[in-house]
Amino acid sequence: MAVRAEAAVADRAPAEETVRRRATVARRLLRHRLFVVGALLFACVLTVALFADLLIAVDPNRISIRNKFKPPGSEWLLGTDNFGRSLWSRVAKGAQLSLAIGFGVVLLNAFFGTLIGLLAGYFRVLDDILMRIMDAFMAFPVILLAIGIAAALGPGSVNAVIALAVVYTPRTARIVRASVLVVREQAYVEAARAMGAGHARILFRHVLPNCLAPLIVQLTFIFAYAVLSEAVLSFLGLGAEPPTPSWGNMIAEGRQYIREAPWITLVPGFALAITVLGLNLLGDGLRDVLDPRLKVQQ
Amino acid sequence: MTAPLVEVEGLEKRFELRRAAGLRRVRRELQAVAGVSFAIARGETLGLVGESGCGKSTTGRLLLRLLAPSSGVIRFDGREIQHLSERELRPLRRRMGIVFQDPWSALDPRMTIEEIVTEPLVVHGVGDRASRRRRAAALLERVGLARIHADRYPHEFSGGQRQRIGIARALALEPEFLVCDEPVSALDVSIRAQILNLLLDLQRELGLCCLFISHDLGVVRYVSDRVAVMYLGKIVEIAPTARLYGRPLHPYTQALLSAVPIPRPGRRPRILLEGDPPSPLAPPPGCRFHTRCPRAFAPCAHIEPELVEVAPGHRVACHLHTPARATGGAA
Amino acid sequence: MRTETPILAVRGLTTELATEIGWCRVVDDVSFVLYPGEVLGLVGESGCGKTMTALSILGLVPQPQARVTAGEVLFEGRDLLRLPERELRRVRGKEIAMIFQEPMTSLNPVFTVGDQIAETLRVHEGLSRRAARARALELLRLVGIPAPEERLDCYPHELSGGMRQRVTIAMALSCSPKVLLADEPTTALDVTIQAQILDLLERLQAELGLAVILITHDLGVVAEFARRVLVMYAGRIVEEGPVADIFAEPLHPYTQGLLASLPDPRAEIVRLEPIPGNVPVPGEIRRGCRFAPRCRFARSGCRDADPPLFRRDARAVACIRSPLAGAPGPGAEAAEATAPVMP
Repeated sequence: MAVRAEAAVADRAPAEETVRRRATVARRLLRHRLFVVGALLFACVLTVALFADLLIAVDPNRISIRNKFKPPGSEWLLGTDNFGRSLWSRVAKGAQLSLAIGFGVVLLNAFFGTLIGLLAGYFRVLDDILMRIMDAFMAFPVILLAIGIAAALGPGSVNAVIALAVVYTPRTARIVRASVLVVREQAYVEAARAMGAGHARILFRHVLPNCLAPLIVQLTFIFAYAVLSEAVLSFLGLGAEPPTPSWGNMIAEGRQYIREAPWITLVPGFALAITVLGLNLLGDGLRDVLDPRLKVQQ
Repeated sequence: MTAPLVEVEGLEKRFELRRAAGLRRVRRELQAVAGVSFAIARGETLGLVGESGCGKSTTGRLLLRLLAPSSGVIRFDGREIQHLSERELRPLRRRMGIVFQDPWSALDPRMTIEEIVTEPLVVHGVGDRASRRRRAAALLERVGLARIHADRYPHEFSGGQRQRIGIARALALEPEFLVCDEPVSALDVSIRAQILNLLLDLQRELGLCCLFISHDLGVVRYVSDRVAVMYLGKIVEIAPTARLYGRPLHPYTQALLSAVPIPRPGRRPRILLEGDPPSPLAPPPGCRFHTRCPRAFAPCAHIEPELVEVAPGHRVACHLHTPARATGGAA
Repeated sequence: MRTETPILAVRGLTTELATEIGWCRVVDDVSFVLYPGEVLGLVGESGCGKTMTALSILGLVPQPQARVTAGEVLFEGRDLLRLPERELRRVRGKEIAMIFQEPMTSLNPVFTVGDQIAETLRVHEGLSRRAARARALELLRLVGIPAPEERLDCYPHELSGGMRQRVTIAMALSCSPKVLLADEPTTALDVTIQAQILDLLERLQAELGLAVILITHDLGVVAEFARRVLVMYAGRIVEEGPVADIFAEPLHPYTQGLLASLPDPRAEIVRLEPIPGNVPVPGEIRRGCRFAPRCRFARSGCRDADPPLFRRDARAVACIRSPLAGAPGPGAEAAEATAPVMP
């Protein structure tokens, strides 16, 4: 009887509270000013990349010597380069490439990083071996390692994706491992063991879902790094092969004319900056909202 | 007394601590449980009290085989389980349950209450979706929550409500043996009594065999049929509840009891123990309590007292209560 | 009523906390006095505002999530809430000291215990390095730390929980404060260590004539240590009185409920009678008496208005059912004491 009475009181928890709490992540993100700015910036770049073919009037590779070194203006929106190619067309197509590479790196990196992190954090016998390998990778400066791998594989976008995925995987693996180490000590994991759940169930039903928040944040930053590093690889001739436009090789090509026609380097440089800034703000916002360790005490 | 459901003999658990000292690694051994023997009958609640680090939680986990013992025997329903593999344990896990101390970490924040409560059924392939849903509703109702709570997430509940959910999960497979590891110490006073009454009702209703671990002597007295007191990995006294609280014999039990502040005004004599409990990394020789014992005498520092029966069901490990011949040899 | 002048008088203290649904009052119109040399217990469950009350007194509420919006804290004729930060800092530590539940939070892990105590002494008392060290040693001895000469050069992590709490007490006492705010000083400790620390506090309090506000959720600790008790619920004081009276004859249904739900190790209890429902979280408070939703005596009048503290002699209770509620007598003074003070 006493139990019933308590239950009746417990039920008085207002029903609308559930709805409010569920909406809370989205709402907190929207209230996060920098997140919104980041999201808008990234959305712009994404829109340009997705609809690049509709948005450009001129083929990005059409050479028109007559029109070379035209500054940005009413005739040529963002100007033209030393071959008279439309910079707007090239930057838009470059966005396509950059984001595609970014997504590719993030997907590969998420898969391998999560796998390694989960295994290392959960099965302590694997921890030493896996993490020492990761440490070995992390002992090299990221960009040098990426250049080395890309050079070994040969130029090309796919190879750039592979190179970048390899160099960033240890970072993701470490982040995931760190979360796994925390989550595996939670009583609900022990509860799952106590009820006879197997390793697979514990890993994928309990551990992984609870490691997602920091992983998502990390992947946003990896995306930004990947876009930036791809530009570096292209700049060095290890990424997309000319004449395919990529922000990196555009900057590389414009470098010679930086005095006479600075816009050739500035335009792709600016696109790169906007994308990276947008992603970083997005990541910061996500971290503030998703990462429980940094959540403001209520 | 009926045949015990759970029984341990000479149970020991040593943890190896590795610490880097310069380039070398120093290995030290922490003896969390140092030779513990007791039995719990069906339908009986054994309270296990002691201060932090005395090995009471480790003992609970050993009984459930969430940890493997370093030595000793664990019998569940007459069968030795100390050496069983995780696979061999699986069918036994249906018959055991655990309720945790911290209601915040005991429930997976990404699962709904229904998913949490029915997880044991899913793991053991019991019933279909619809029948599990019905079972969840019945369980929630039994622990004092409503059906409508089933689709919510743990963060929407208070500590007391979460503890109810944890209890519902532990009972989902109708276990025979339940370990309650400090189930109310994280709760507010006014909520604590609700959960204690719920556990007490369920224990009686379902005829559960319970190991109730707590540092709170009042709580243990309220729920237990028998009580064991642990100090530094050993049981120093074990007796039926009324007897242990009425006539505590071990100086440690006496000191513990006198140290608990009670909500009744007025001065009363207190036995103050000197110093801190010794580190389980280097337990003192002889009786482990002799460094703090107000009544320690000659043999205490050298000879470890045996747990001997001084009255029916009342066993104590103290030289003050050991028959003369046991201590005579060394004295 | 006592004729003594209080050393600390809190009037209409109101503190708000930022939550997802806006500013919520976590300390709501709290008034009480502390006399010199007395131990005042402040009991309540989690979220009742007891710690926030202590932090408000010292101007230590976490900013910007919390703010004190009304009230005054009179200490030796000065209102601490209106003191500039510089002067307040001089009061804090020197005149009013505080100790916390988790000693590690008030100890700096990278300095030795001796250095930390000496630091306080050099800042507040202007002692020389050598004199400060000598005084630190004396303080460690005072709080019953064995082999204090060796402990002086220990780092906090090298000490046990009980020893650390002794060190924080030594630090708190280093400048001979007049008032000590002890926030759950023994909650993180084992029973036998708790008994040692309570014993120590009791001895020091008597020896040094300290006025202590002991904040705890443990009614047992209050019963054994305090002389007067304030019971808090959902940000308000619901009952006040001498410890013997409150435990012998609690007047507020909440106090009664708390006492009925405690398992006593020294008594056979057949059935505990819990308070139904949940401990309210800030912002959840509804109209009327805050305890009404969980009160088995609640009647319609309870949900209409928040009852004021009805006062008679040394006792006070915020319940319209209580025998004190009908009494006029010295109630006028009580009404004045509990009236909200607007800034």
